Amino acid sequence: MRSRAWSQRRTASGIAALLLAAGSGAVLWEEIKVKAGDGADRWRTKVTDELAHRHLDDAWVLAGCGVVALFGAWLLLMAVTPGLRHRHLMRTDEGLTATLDRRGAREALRDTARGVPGVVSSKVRFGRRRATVHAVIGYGDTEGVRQDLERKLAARRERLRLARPPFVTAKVSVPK
Amino acid sequence: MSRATLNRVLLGLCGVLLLAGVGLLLGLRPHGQPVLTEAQRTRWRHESWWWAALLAAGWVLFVIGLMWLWTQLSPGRAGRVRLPLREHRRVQLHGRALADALRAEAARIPGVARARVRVLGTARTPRARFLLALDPGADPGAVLDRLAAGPIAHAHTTTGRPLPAEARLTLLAHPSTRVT
Repeated sequence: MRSRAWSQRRTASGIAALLLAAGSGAVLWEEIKVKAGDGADRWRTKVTDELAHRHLDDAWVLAGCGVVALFGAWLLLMAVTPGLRHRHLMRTDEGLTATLDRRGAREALRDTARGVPGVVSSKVRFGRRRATVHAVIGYGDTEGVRQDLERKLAARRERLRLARPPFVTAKVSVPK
Repeated sequence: MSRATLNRVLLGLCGVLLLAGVGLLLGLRPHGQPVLTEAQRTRWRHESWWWAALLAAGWVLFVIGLMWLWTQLSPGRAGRVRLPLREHRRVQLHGRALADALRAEAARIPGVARARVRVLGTARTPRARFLLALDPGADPGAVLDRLAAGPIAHAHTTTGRPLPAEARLTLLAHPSTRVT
């Protein structure tokens, strides 16, 4: 079973497709114009000129290569990484794909912590691998409240039904 | 091939080609040379196939670019959903009508505060996307069970074909959040 939701990568594809269409379109336009007997546009002459005169160790050439290489690396990264880091895949039956966003998951744990008697305030950090709940205990037996909190958090974590639930840690503090 | 697969294959291809191009240019050629030498530029100029090949390559890349771009822009909403033949008559359902029905049923699930639904895909292969905002105390797992047993199962019985669905869930913040 998959453990991550995979993005469709529409933005990256849109950018790449736009550049591809614009670039090849411009070259095509120029080819046709030149072949039809019209002179080449100024930009075309300029580009050809620059390519013929700038050497491979020229700063501009190296900078251009750097930009192109970075863009290529970014496209490759977009192709192989799942993306959607803020959406957690849930366990579902065939035919249904579901994700719970990180804010929602954090809210659920916060809601649970707040429901524990003795906890007066709580703060949750929800990550892909682990979630940490910082709870401030206002009254009651500290150890008892901590155990209660841990038990309830573990139960709530199960009911979120995440495909790869993060490890939940409860940290308690008592204000002096 | 789904849009996700198509995008990832083309993105990977573009990335590899760009990196390889830069690598070949900087790695294999002596550094004192111009980027494009006179000999390279005019090598095939007088061959009869050169112009045709250039033109063909330009067209192919241009068309691929436009089609790829088009794939991203289209919202992919199904205007109509085709139902199985009933007494040899073709029956169609507006995608929006199906979406409204799904939304109304999803909104009645306990724990669901707000629901938005879109029917995507084509008339023959529709799929649904649910955007659900849940009440703070709700159980996402339980909501999913009811979603599968309710709206999605009913759509299956009504349209006569399984309706693949995607659900994006969030939990709303408690209105009376204590200040931390």
